[in-house]
Amino acid sequence: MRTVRSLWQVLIVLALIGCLASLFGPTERRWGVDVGAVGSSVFSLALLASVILVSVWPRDAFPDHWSLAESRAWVGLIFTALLLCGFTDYLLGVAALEEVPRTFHDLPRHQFYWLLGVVAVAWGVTSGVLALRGGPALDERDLRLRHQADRLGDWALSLLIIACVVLLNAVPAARLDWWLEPVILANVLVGVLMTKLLVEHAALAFGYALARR
Amino acid sequence: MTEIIISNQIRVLRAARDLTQEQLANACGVTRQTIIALEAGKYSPSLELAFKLAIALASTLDAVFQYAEKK
Repeated sequence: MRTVRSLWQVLIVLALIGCLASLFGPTERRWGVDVGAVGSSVFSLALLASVILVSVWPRDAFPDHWSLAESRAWVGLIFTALLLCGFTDYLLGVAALEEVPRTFHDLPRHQFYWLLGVVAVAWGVTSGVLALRGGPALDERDLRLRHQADRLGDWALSLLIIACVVLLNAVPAARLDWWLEPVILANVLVGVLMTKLLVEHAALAFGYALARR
Repeated sequence: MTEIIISNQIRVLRAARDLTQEQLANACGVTRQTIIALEAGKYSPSLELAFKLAIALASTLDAVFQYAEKK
């Protein structure tokens, strides 16, 4: 059981390293190695292997004293962190464009969409497979912790909106031209929502950890 | 300021009836982790769960839970 859990943890770390290398690695070859391509392959293989591992041994991937909802909270935190990493890289790519994108089709074809697809499938499969462990999926204590996490997410969303309002008022209009393009604005709003999702999952996962102390 | 203390005898009553945390959790429709949190006094249950616990432990609500105010 410990071996499965250790292996799973190693795979998750490998997937995170691969994801970061693929998204933020240097564009040129280093020591004859294409870091981005290698990172991308490592990420895909490690993610696939970890999903298979959870599918085959759903009881062993997480500690016994974790409930199903707690396991799902940590899985959610890992996947939302991956998505936000990908989205940040995507926004940096958009910011580097010479011309301001006017429509959705002007946006660069980016591996963020690929990442989004892969993560969505892996997240769905992992969450579904975890339910095979049996027991109640969600009881009143889980709901209370989730409610607290949701409230924190709402606070994060409010703060982000206030930050946007302050920024819009404080920065001269000429400097905001790029940000106020509808396509860019839409992407920023997606980023705000993804940050809220990450805060919620982080609050939920750490809420479970704190409740046990 | 008045401090409210809610304690419980779940661990004692469960041991007296030779029930495991898992069995009690299944009887009440909650996770074992919730029973652990209740026994450790880290979680106050809803009235519905409190009644379920009392029934599963073949006891009464005031025998399972105790309420005290401390000034």
